[in-house]
Amino acid sequence: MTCLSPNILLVGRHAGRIQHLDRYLATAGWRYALAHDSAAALEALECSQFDIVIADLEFSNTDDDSLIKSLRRKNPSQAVIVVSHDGSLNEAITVLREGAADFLQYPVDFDTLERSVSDILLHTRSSRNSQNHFRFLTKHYSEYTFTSVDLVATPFELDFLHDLENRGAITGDDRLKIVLAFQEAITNSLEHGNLELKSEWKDEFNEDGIDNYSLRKKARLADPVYGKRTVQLQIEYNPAMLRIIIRDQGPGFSVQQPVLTDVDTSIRCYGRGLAIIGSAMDAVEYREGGRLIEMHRRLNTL
Amino acid sequence: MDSFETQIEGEKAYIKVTGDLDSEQSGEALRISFNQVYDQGKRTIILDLSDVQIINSYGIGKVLMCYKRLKAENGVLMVKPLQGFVKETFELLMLDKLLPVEE
Repeated sequence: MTCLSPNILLVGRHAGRIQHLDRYLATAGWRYALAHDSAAALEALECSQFDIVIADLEFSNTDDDSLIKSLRRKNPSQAVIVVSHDGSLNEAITVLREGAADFLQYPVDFDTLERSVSDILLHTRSSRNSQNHFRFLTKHYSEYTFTSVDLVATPFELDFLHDLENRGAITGDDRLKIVLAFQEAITNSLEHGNLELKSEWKDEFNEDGIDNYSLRKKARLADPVYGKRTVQLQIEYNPAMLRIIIRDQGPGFSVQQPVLTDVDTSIRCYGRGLAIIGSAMDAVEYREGGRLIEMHRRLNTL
Repeated sequence: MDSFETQIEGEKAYIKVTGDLDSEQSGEALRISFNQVYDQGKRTIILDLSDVQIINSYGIGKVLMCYKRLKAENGVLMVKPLQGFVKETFELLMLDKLLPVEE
């Protein structure tokens, strides 16, 4: 499981079945809230953001039958997993077409449920989304944790920035710069943080012409000591501000890292990523000995 | 993408970079393309980045690697006129002072 604490809304009217799921979610340590019918679910979504809605549907009930549509109408990017005791293949196809991320039947196999939750959060289900992007990051607040290995396997594109651009909160150029700053910061956290790779290794080559940096990166990803370290990501935006926080588990770095002041510095390997981040964001702060970077970007009022 | 299109004109060699220069794949393509013309003895190499929309620190690193190899042999790495985000990034990192523009 790569996401340490997904935030889940559990919806269902059947007390016995819900209790079963309820107990599992509690045991798994996931944050969750309960809603006993569609109206309560929609009300809960008014008040809070949830990574995933797990809905126990009874297809014979018309209220349940329209739940997916209602949820998706309210938030087109809301991830929903449907669990059902009476669903047929046709009904499974219908809910998946309506936008449900997965369909599970009782008795629920909890390993399958956990994999489904993990897949949704990482969005690596290529059969559903060949782009393989982090499309789930569309909420006003998202918090996720990835291992080093997951970060390398999954490209990071922040689709919610398209929403911000479409709403006039940022320009197209702003979006490119923010994406680039995010990529630079994530790369720093992964490679210089978790994997403890040193920039000067990029200039050292073996007899096959492969640089030492790439070789060590591969080796460290395969080493659980480095590969299983995590990067935590928090993204939050309000009508005025976008805030991104990235925290790694590496040894940290000196926040007095050189900044670009002359051509010679730019030729060396240090500081270019930090300069790119600084140019794209309005404020950048390093804390926790360099293990955490917090970036702020003003938005045009939404 | 294994390599980028290269063209020889007299003592000059041109490398036409396409797509974004922000990944190991594109960086490797640049390295291979550079080696192709470098191994032919060309020491004035011009990068055409006019079709590149995004370049990150990784891509910049690969460009600088080309610069260093040429400089070591009194060669020169130039760029075709830049625009947009790539131009901004070069200016930000002061690469515009390092790499002359071939008009």
